[in-house]
Amino acid sequence: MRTLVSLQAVTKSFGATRALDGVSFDVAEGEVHALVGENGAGKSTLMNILAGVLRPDGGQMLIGDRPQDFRSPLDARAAGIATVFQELSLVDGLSVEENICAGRAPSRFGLIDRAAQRLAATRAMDHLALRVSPQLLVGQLTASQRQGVEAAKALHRLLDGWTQGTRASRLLILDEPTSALSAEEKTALFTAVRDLRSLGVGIIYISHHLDEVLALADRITVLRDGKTIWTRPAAGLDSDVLVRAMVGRQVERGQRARGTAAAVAASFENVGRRGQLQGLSFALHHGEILAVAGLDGSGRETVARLLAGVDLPQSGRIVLGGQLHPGSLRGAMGRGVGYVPDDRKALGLFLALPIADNAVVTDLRRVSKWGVVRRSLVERGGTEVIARQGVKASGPRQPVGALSGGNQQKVLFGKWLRRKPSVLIVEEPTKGVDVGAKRDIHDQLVAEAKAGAAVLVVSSDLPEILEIADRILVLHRGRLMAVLEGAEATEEAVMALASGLATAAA
Amino acid sequence: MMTDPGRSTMTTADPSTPAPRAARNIGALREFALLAMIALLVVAMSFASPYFLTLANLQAVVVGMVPTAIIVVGMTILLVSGSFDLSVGSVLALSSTVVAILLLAHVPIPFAILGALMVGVIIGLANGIMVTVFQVNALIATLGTMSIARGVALVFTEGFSLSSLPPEFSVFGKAQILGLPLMAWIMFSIVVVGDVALRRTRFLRQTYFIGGNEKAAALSGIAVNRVRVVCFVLSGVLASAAGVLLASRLMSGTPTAGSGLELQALAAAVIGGASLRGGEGTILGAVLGVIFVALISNAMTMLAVSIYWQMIVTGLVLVVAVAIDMLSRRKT
Repeated sequence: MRTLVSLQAVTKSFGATRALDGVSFDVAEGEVHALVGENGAGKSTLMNILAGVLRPDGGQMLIGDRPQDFRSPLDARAAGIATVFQELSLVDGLSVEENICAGRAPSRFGLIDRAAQRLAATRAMDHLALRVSPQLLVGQLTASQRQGVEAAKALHRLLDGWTQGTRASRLLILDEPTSALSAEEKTALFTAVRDLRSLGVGIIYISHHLDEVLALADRITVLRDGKTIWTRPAAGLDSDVLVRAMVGRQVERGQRARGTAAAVAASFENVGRRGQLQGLSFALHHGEILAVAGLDGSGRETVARLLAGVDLPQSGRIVLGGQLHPGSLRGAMGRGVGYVPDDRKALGLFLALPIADNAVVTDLRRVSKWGVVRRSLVERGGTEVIARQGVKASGPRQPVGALSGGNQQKVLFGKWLRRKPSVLIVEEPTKGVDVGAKRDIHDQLVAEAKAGAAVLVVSSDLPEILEIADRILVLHRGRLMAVLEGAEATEEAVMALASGLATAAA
Repeated sequence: MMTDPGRSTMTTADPSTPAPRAARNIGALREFALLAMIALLVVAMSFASPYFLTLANLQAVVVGMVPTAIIVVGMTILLVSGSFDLSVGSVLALSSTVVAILLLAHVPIPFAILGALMVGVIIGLANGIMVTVFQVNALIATLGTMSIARGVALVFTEGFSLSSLPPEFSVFGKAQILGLPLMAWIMFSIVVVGDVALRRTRFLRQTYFIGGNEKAAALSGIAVNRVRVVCFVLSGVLASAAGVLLASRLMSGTPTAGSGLELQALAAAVIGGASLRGGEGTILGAVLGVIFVALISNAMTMLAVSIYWQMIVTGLVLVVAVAIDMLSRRKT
């Protein structure tokens, strides 16, 4: 078998973070090569380098046996690499067939040949058992249909290359292609992948779902912390070996005494939201940190958004403080809820405004008298947050945008902790913050719980969850797999449940 | 303190934070720069034309800028919240015709004025509801009501001005206090109250958060839609008030009045430091912008420059002011 692409000792850094640290990886003709690893292991960076989106800092990329340097995604496409992006690249205002044939539409006399375009789109969709009218606008599709169309688009590019016989795409990259697909569509996708393999196409398959990886791959490469752990033939491997290689370390869980049998702060009763959660029931107690773990698309963020009142359940009910949830964030805040969203720049902070303003935005009422904002109280609010959270800043009037990521995150926490929430909902508490700030934030969450708050943490950072959580809800595709606590909560156990390999033992 | 993105640093001195202070001072700098330019213009003009610094001319300038200065208050509040209102010129015209129609129907003056102000309430509500509930882009929503309000004014009047209003109605233009007509004092009150309210009141402070980051504002418990609707209603009512005052000055309801006023107000607010991105700007700055543009027009009239050239100069001032602002930001 000929090697299509190989990467040799590739490195890539973002600021101080080494995303890839000497990774070597290759794909041969007619091979499915799977890439697995935890969040942040470097899978997406690697894929973006192959797709021409990012350029490596060091190392070499060979196409066939010639060194190659992609300056843009167009270069990668010209070299025969087709990519199905996890973040969808479809245009809502255009039809399914136009999207599938985008950039490669069949034409006659310089005009698009609509009949041929429909035929080509239908052919690609048939391969994937996708039952969508090709004339429908993409904006009207469901998430799973969109993902199917995305795959069909890449498939069209491949098929088109093969029929034209020139500049054929010989390498297909699939990044989490099944996260929104139905079971039937998944089966069809797998068949299509195997068909392409028998045509000699090389396929890179990136997935969190280890069952899929084991079923489909010829070889598997495990990445961890930007390094290649190993590359082995898939035959003979099992999920335990994979999980252990991905996790790679024994994490000591910080054991702490937890107030058991404390009062229930909130509970979910058979809560569902289409495409996100199904029949979820659990209770959140005062004095505990309850973590929600799951892969992307497992619905873990939905749990936080529902409890915060930002999203509404479509079935079941949520009880907050002994009564039905008021169904809005403002209502929930009235019952003591605080909500730290996951994207501090887009959703949490006002970057152009000073620390003081950011600190008091959640309770302007408390810093006003007769409807007039008291400047001294606002200033004091800012000073308090800086002192209590240990924010490194020149003063309460420094704009939040001028702070480092960790200090921004502390301000975001401070703005909610000022309200002394009895139910604290936190998404990705330490995303993109340095180690010191991470420890401060963890200590603070534990302190809040000890002081009697009910803390719900949603995080994609598994070691973080294991370190701070008293109990862990593990979700897989919108369903509760298990509630782990104490010694049974290991990284392996959570990963196995989250990727759908194991079912609840408890 | 609750910092005004505009000019907070003018009021307190805190030597511990020099660097961020300088970065945030752009708004205050803008107001000082405008004041300096205005002073420069006044000095230069007092040499260039013996009539410029006469009481009569300055009175004319003040009275002439009343509608724009009142409208710019609402426009600035909307700009800070990340929105704007193109319907204000038409609302002014419709309100001036409504007050005239009511007066001609022998409705007492206070009720006629209330009726005219309702025009602003209704159109402001319509704008606000379209932008929030139906998620119509503010440009489209207010472009629509701009056309509708103007059309209604023309339908009501069949295109003619309505005159022979009761003489008592001229009080806003005629009654003088300290050499200025009542309508000028009303304008000053609206500007001062508006400036303080936008800086200091809890309700209007929320516009800086909404304009700064709408999603974060909603996730901080601010009732974004409610604030937006109120701001549109404010803008509508202020435009209606300007229409009533204009009708009093001209002693007629004019369905064609105020066309282009929405763009003049937008330009003045932006010259004064507001931005279409939202989250910044002050009413003081915007009104200084109105004064600056009004003085330039007046100066050119004094110097017998054609009215057509005045439009060209106003446009240049707007573009140059924004370009300088963008350059000064890039450095910080």
